[in-house]
Amino acid sequence: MAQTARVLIPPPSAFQAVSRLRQQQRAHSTKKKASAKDPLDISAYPAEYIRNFSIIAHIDHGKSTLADRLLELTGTIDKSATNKQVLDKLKVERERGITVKAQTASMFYDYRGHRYLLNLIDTPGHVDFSYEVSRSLAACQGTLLLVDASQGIQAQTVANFYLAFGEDLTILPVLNKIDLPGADPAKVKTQLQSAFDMDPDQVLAISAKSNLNVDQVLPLVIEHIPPPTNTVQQPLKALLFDSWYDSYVGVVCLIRVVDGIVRKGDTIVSNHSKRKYDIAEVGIMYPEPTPTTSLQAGQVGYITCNMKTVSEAHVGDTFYRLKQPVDPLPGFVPAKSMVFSGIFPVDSAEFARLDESIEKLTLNDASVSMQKETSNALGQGWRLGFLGTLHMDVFRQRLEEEYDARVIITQPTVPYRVVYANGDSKTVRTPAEFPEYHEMASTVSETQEPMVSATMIFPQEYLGAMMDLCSQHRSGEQEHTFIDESRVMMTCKLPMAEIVDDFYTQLKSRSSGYASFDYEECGYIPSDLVKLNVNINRRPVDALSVIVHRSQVEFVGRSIAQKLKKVIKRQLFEVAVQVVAGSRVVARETISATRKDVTAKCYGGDVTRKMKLLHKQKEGKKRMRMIGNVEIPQEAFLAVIKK
Amino acid sequence: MTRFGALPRPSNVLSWGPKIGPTGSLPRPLVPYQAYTTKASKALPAAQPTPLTVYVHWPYCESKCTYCNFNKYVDPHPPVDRLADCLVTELRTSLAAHPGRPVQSVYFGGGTPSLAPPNVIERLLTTIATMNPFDRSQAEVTLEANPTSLELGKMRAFKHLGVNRLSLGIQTLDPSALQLLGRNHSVADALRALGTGQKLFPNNVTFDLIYGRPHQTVNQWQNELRLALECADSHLSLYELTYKRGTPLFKALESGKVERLSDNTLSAMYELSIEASTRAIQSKELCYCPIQVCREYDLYHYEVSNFARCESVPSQIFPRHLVANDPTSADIIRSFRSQGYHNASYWRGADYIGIGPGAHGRITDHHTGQRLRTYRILNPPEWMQQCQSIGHGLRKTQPLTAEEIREELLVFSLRMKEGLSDYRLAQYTTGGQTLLEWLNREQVELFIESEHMELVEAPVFDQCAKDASTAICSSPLLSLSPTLRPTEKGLAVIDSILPRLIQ
Repeated sequence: MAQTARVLIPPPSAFQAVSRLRQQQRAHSTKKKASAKDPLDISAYPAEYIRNFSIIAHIDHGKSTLADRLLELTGTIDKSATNKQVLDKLKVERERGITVKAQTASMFYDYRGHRYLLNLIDTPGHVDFSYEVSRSLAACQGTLLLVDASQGIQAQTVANFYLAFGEDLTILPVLNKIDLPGADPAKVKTQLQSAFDMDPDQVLAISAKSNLNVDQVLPLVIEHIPPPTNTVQQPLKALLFDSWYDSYVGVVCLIRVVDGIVRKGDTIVSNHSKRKYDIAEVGIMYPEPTPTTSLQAGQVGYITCNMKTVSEAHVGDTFYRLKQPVDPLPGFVPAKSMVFSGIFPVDSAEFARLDESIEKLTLNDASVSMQKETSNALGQGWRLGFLGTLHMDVFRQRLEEEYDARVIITQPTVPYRVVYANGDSKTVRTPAEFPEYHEMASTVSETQEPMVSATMIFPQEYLGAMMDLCSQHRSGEQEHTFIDESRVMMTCKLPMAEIVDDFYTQLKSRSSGYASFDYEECGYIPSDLVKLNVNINRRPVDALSVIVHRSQVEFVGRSIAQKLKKVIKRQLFEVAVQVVAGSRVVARETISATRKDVTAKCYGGDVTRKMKLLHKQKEGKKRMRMIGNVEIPQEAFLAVIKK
Repeated sequence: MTRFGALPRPSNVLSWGPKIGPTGSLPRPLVPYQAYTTKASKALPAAQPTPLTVYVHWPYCESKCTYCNFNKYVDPHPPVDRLADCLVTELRTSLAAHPGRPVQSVYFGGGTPSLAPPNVIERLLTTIATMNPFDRSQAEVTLEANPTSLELGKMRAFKHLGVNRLSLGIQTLDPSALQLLGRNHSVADALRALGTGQKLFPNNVTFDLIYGRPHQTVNQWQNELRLALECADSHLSLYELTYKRGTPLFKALESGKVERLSDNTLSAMYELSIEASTRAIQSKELCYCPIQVCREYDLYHYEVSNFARCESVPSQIFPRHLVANDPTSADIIRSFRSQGYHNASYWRGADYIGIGPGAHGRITDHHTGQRLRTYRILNPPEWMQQCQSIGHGLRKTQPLTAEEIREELLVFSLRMKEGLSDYRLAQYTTGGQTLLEWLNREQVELFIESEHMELVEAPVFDQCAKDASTAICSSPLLSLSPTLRPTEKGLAVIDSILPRLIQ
């Protein structure tokens, strides 16, 4: 086998030229145009010369930088400044330093006389996206656990470690940023040893930024991560682990070929839908989509097959060859919406445009559920379901940045349930659907809220703080066990409404970032729920309504009123904010009128500046909602959400 | 006339009047003044070329003030002769494009223009007189000066050469604040300068004060203000300190060396400036009553930061019922002469030519009817080089769209109690849109209801000469036009109002 590798794979320099050419053509057009060139033949890479691996790390521990270095080292991308953080393709990812959608890239690497095909599969780094992490890890045999040498083990390191551990992956610890002044590699190695039982002598210490020891990373991957154990001779069995929509070729599916081989022109069947697809193109991410002659057992790459919508690409699905059905792979538990929020255009005239933008964005994010909604304060909009609040925030940012949309997002609501006296019940996804005060007494027999069963792991010194935190969030009975001499695992049931808010933030801050947190749904329990309405200068603002537990009415009411007082700027008129439960005023705040707002000096030379300011103010007005005379900034709707 | 035929002229002012409140939902204007007729066409002959004003920028200073971000350079030996030659050249070039238009006002600003040799002023005034109609006895010629002895010594010479109005940069009468502001004179110098100025230019002296300085208290400002009001001549500018980017004070603020006063303190100081200082303390409740200011010190708060002395006006143009029906217009008329022509003409939207490094201008090209904003090169050596090679130091000319012209008129006019009239809107724009047709009517109504604004038939001052009483006396047919104007309460928050008025 080794001798075939010599001709079929062109030298890296040739790849670079092709890659550069393709980058000029940009991703969309690459696929069609590239078929004019000969596709790469990677059939000479049997499983033993393939490694599928990922990098898992806490946020900001340098994952994307290391990925860039590896891509540079293998000649996959140029060492130019424009190639920063190749895997983080979304602008929001680069800005926030988080990965939202899993991306993948293939590299060729010569080691000890052999050329290896290495597939780096990226993972998102936040609990909201743990669904994405597990599906990325399912395509790997091993992972680099990257830890910042000065910050040490963080909550996400732990969470990610256990995710990888649960997938039976080989985990290779790597310390990053060892050349920073605050770095303490010895201490962090000890942490790794005590937390994960890792041998300190086997921890690689690097600095991705300054390229220190980065050359030792790939040898480590090749020597320690097992090759995929698959056979080309078996019938095709491929795992669909990610997909996205490309306006030129339709849906692109990322697959890991478990057994067999897949080529252009093959007909495959989705195990989930039993639909047939003819494969138009197969290829690898290099790092742009680059056609190959085939993908075979152990390899990771993409296929296009005239799939029209992302919803057809059921993540976790198994593909098999027509008339050669196989036992499907276990797949994934589908993502469920945990948080529902109203989204409205700031300018109601932009409804149609926003409708189109949201549709496009949800094409690439099947985890967002969507239905239309109308608010008296905000007009026509949508009720969207998200995996969590960060997911929601990222969605909003992508709407604003990629589609230039200006939106208002309302207080997130979990799916409550209302049981009527006549035995009917309905699920309530928005405060507007919740019965008004007078209805409650006469027609409703019970209200229920969804619960989660939560698991937290943290160092024992935070036990008191974590117990307090859960109690304050209406936890049920708490249980805890020591998983080693210093770390505690705590479990309890929490109302889902409590964790969509600020629970995660508080968990992090009260545990100095060390607590990791995971949860799963566990049904509904009866709960005494109350709807709080907000009136501004006596006009109700339905978009600010919230559903809370009766025990929280006063606290939440006061907090909403105070937050609104902070974000609603002084106006030309006095503004009264009231939070009411039924007809009872729970909290009240007054914002006094602006006393003075006038530019002191304005003469001939000040015209340009003054007019610019006026236009900025006019633009600013577009981000405002008028409730009667009162300008409510978009932030008001967000501020009520945040604690 | 033919040459200026292309200039936008007001159409029949009469036709604007009845348009007010067509739906009847707005308050009717005040009772029209019997003393005036509304025969506007007679009062405002359309054939005269539109007047101009000229601003001349002298970019050099002796020392650097910590709050100033103007285009100025501290140079002990500035190239005075070359600068003067270039100013003359640029003035000549600029005026040549606007022949026949009378120059109503010349303003020497800076920098410190009083550092210029008197002959420079003379050369510039002579240039104007040879190029354009320039009635030296009627035109306003203002010079900015610092209260230093050196500059004072030249005052008589300046007066002799045609300067007839003095603007003194006093800035503070608190000895402890002089250093903070970077002033190189004493309070005694300031008071002496004020005295000398008043002797030389009686009823034509103004001075600036800055309040809201770090560490300043309302009480301190009250004392300083009282002294200022006692010494004031015909005009006073009271500015809240603005921390402007690039100034030493801004840097001090950024680095935390000084602190901005609280909004409440600054508001109290602003209100105090408007109030008669003695009254503000007597009645805890601060009421806006500019008439009281006039009564105590006879100064009328006609623009955000500017106050002008009221004068008695002959009763035939100032009838009793006017005072009763429209005290605002009465006060504007009484203080009109003291307001000074130059700055008010910026706010009223008039054309002005800016000469010198970094000077701005706003001028209508009479060939095209196009309004332009002009910008000169900032850096004096570069500006001079271009003047010498092509006759002017113009850096950029920006044509203004109809909407830009309208918005600029609104922003500037509403800084004055006088407000903006349909007449003025029509004077500078075409299309015949009235204020109510242009502005957000709902918001206008709201602001009238809340007493931030008034919409009234008010006298039009746009075409008045610098001496209003003369103008009114000589042409008793002063016209009325529907006018939107801020009340005292509205003026204090005009920056919040403006963006709401524009659709």
